[in-house]
Amino acid sequence: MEQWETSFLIGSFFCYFLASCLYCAHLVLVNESFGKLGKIVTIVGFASNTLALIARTILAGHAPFANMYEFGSSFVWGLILFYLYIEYRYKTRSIGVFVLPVAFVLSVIFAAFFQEAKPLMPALKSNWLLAHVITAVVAYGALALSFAVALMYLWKDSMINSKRVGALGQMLPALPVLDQIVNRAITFAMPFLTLLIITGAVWAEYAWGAYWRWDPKETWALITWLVYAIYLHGRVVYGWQGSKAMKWAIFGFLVVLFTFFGVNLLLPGLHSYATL
Amino acid sequence: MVKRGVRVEAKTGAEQGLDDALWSWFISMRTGLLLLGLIAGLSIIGTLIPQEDVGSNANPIFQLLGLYDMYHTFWFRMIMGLFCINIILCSWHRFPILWKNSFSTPIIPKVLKDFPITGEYKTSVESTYARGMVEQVLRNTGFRVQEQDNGSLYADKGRLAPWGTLAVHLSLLMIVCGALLGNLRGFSTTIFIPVGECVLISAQDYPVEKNFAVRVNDFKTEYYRQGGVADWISDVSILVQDKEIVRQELKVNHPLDFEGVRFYQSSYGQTIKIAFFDVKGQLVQEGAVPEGAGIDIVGKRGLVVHAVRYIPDFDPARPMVSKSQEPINPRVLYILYEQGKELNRGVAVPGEIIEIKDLGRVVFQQVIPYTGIQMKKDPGLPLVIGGFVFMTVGFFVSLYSHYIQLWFTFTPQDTGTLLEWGGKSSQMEVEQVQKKLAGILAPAEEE
Repeated sequence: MEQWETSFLIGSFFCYFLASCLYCAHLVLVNESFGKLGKIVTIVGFASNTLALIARTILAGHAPFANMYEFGSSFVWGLILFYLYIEYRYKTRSIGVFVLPVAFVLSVIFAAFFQEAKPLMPALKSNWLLAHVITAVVAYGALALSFAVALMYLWKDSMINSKRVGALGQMLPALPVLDQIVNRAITFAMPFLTLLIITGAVWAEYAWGAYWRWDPKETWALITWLVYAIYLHGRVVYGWQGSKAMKWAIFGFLVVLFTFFGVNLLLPGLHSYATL
Repeated sequence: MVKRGVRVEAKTGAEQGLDDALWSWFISMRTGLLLLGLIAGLSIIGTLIPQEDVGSNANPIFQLLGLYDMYHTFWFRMIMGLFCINIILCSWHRFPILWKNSFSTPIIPKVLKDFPITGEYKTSVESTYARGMVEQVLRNTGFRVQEQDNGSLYADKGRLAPWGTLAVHLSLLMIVCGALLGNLRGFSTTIFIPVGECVLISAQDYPVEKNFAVRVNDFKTEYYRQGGVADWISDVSILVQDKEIVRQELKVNHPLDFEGVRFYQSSYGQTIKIAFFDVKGQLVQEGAVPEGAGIDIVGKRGLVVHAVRYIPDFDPARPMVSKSQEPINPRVLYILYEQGKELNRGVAVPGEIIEIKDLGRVVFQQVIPYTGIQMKKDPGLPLVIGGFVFMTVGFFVSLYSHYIQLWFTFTPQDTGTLLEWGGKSSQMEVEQVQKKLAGILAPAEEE
């Protein structure tokens, strides 16, 4: 089973890398068939990712959510799922050029935290683990997507500003479409981001005897939430659009990444088992 | 919503008095966002400066500002208070519009063209017929439609969305109030109880309603077959007037509730019972200390007996590490101090007599496991949990539905009807609504 897990893991890596290249070729060479191939390879990678997660679940005897590596694989899985939906929904393959490399880089980082399957430690033995991590996969997956698409927006915007759109730029979706995808992804993610903090708090109430302790992980989760709350107000009340909103979306995801990696690595606290 | 926000902020400048300026500062959403940013910024500082007692390493300026316990300082609470006031005022300010939109039919505006969503369509059919078609199609796509006196139509959808937004804001108030209540009226403490012993919790010492006792019947650590701790389990009873009322296994993630007080498995260790005899063999002092702690012997020139560690399965080759968790070859590692200077150190079997020259004898009589139980009461918890529920529901309602309002007028013309419409959506996705409208109206024309 362990060999299976490793093979599927490497398989999904390879596919995400290959798909990144294919989506790139699709844009640079302005050739639809590369895009089609990219989609197929992404689906194969997604299947491989799914199988690796199943193998890990069987090995560990619990859902693959207990440490940085396990959560990371689930997170990338969620991102790809969202991406495939967006590709289907908006009938555009050019977004893959930004999403797949993000997925690939994230899976490389998470693989660096690889560790053997282990049974759960007492603090993690709770039904709240499942709810907590599923909301994280959904929220972070959608926010990663918003990040990739916001980068794409700025790229296209700079092409338009320097009047060098060309055939490549033509293949990217129009700016309002990108803007809308980013906004949709964030509005979709926000209730889950809220649930992520709430399930964490309720769980902490059972496990640690306090729903809130200003532990670094909790505090940074709150900061992430505040950043996106400001985004929503800016959008609805002040009518933020275009590059201003996009920059805020990019900033938001960088804060997510810090909450996720930075806090565990730099700021010790109760969540530290996540790096073990 | 765009316009409402702007109108409040536009009222600044020299023409207004201080009261007005203060009022519009408090009521402004910009102030709210500023406070959100400020709370985020302070929270970052709070994660960089350890929120604990750092003792002599403390920076005096940080100490003065309360940065080592920032979240409980007066000024942090004040910022939270301002934030709450801002939320209340902002919601209050918007409430009449929300109420009117929800419970009465908005009167048709004079100029439909000023709306973010607007358009017109010429149809060859007669106006009553056209109205019937539009009404039918709108109803089929989930709109609530009302015909008005002058023959125009009002349609809306997703009226709950702004209520969801209100719920999210009010839930923040609930959570902040609940947290404050818990801070002011709740308590949390950890009690250490050796196995087999009972601790009285009296209403004099703790904010509990009546006296009760906590007894630890047993404590065990369970392991997985492949290694690693599976659970720490305390078998706990609650007694009222020596009668057992509740008995439960206390585990991590499985607290025990008793009359508003919650008990948690928090820590564990060993208590070491120490006895000290003088040179004549008379018992001078007896006491129990947790592992790693010491006991002062009264009247013996600053003599301290320090029980460093309990080793259940001692191995002379590696004295600091236990071979197993079973008490196969138990030892106590100890150090004796006299006026701060180390006098003697060694390993003792429980019950073994340790002679101290000219001073007396020490015996580590018994090693009993203890369990650390966190005991907590938080009267603010129901409010906080209520806030969580409110917030979750509010967010889904607010962000997963779109509030759309539309007005239609039908003007009879020589060869049919001129249909005009205007409307607004709470989401900034005007184009999409318009596209949908075109989709709705096109089939209406074909019939």
